[in-house]
Amino acid sequence: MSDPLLDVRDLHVTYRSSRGPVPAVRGVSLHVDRGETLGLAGESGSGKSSLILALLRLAPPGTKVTGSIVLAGEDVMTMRPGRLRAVRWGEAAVVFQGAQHVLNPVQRISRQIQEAIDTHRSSNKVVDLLAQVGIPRWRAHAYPHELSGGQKQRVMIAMALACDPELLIADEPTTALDVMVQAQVLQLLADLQRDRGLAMIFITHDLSVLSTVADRLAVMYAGRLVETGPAREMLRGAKHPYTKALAAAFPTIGDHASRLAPSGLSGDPPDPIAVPSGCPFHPRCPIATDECAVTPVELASVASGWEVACLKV
Amino acid sequence: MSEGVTPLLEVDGAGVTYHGRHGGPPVRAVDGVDLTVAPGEVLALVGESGCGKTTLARAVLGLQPLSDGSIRFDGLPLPRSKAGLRSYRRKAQLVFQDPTGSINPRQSIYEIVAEGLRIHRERADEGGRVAAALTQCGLRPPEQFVHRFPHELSGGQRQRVVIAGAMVLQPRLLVADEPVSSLDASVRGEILQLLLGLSRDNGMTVLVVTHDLGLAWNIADRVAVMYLGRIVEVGTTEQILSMPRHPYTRALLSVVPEQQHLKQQILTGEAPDPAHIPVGCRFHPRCPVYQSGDAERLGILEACTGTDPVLLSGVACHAAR
Repeated sequence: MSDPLLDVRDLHVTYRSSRGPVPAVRGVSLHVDRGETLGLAGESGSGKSSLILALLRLAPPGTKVTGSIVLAGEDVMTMRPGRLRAVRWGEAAVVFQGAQHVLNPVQRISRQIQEAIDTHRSSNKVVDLLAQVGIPRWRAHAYPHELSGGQKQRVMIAMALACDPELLIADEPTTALDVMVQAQVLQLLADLQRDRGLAMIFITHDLSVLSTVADRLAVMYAGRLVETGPAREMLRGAKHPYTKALAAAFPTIGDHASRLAPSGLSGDPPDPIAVPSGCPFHPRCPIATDECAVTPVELASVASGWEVACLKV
Repeated sequence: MSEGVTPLLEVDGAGVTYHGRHGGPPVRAVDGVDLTVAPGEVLALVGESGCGKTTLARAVLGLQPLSDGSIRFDGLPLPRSKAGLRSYRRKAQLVFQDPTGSINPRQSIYEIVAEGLRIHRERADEGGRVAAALTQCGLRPPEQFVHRFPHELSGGQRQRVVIAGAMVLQPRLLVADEPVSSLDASVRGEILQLLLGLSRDNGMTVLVVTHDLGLAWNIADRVAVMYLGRIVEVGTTEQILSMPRHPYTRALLSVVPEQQHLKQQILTGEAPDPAHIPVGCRFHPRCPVYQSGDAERLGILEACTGTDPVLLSGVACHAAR
């Protein structure tokens, strides 16, 4: 097997704050193969966005990042600024959530996409990029307010494709969208991935969305991975109690167990400054015992390519 | 809804028209809605953005005057006078979408929850009623919360505070507009359990406005599907979500991730525009039955493009007849 496109080893991201250091990511290792989609799931505060920022060295100044990040054979941690700029769009591009806040409201979309092309000396054409994301040629000169939410998200995807990246990082790309538009955008991402052989990291807190797009899943809690494995199998039979709770939060319609029985977790996500001892999930865990509060947990293999960090599994 | 029970809420031919912007055509946000909600029932009003569901919810709360039709609450038409509406709103309360944006960050939890009582000048036993509302909404013990401020609470707790602020007046009807869409996955279930519990244990009637069909499956007794200002299908949750008859409901259900029995049917085209409602069936330009030629085979092509279907036995579609 060839080397993975992205290989992250023992990544730590620690922010500085007035209350002292805030460890947002606490030792994460993961990889993404070429042409593969990794679904990264977790709640707000679980560290998934910090992880993404660190991957492209976009974390705010003063943030301490340690570990190793290798993208297409190059070490991102030691890259010079000029090379880093080229890599940011050329090899890995990010589609952020909330497209309406990222686009410049007083510039035509064609000009905003052209800017991305020019800055990175790409040979792509605006109309071709828009065509690939399903926006008709005559809309190219529209302003963002003239477009619907789904169209703006398509424009963001077109910009991300401007320099033919190998890796597309999509941070909650469908969260603010309607069900029908969400389905359209998911379809578009799936088509792009198939046609261009794109690798993708798809971030969300809605596991059910990942069932349609991801090959593998990685679930984060309190800055660490708690479970990682093949998407379909994991969605059907999650092993970690936190993954189970996330999967049950969005019910399967027609499943009588969830009818008039919404399922959730008690308690709240932990404060990154005061992460609970032992397994950080133990205060909210339905199956935790005394030893969970004191014994640290590590990812352990339960099947081929499937790892879980839980003493009870 | 079972026969013979007087509905708490009766919406009859309701319409809301906004003036068109810059001399444009008028916008029919709500265009002839008939709907009843029984006491103690949880009704989910579902549809895409722009379908008029929030406008209808505002009309139910007396925040948006109707252009035509009527709304009756407990058998009586909604009052029109300022004083009449004020006393009506004691009985019908709104739960906002985003708890972070809808509460004042500089007020303590006590002041936030007591605000309704103060507005309605109900001075008797304020402290006791605030504590009771907090307890009812799962913020126990209430004395641990009353002196705290919103930023000290988690997102789920803040949404509980918002619901407690509505419950403190002991209303008959709660209108919840996307009550969990801004919350994290693990908190979502807890808030839905709270709403379901208020209905089951306290007989609260809940009208929940959402685009989330999973939410309806979790807590609703009945579902009403809205498209372009009109209810196109209504029935029990099991009927609508297991055996949908309207092609729009079928399409909505087919794009829910992880559902198994329907082939995915992604509707193309723009979100519909309430300033230009199509003639005939308002859904026909996006309708899979119409586009696939099935409408022609069924001999209803002319009806689809010429006759506006009425809601008959819970569905407004020529093909479902």
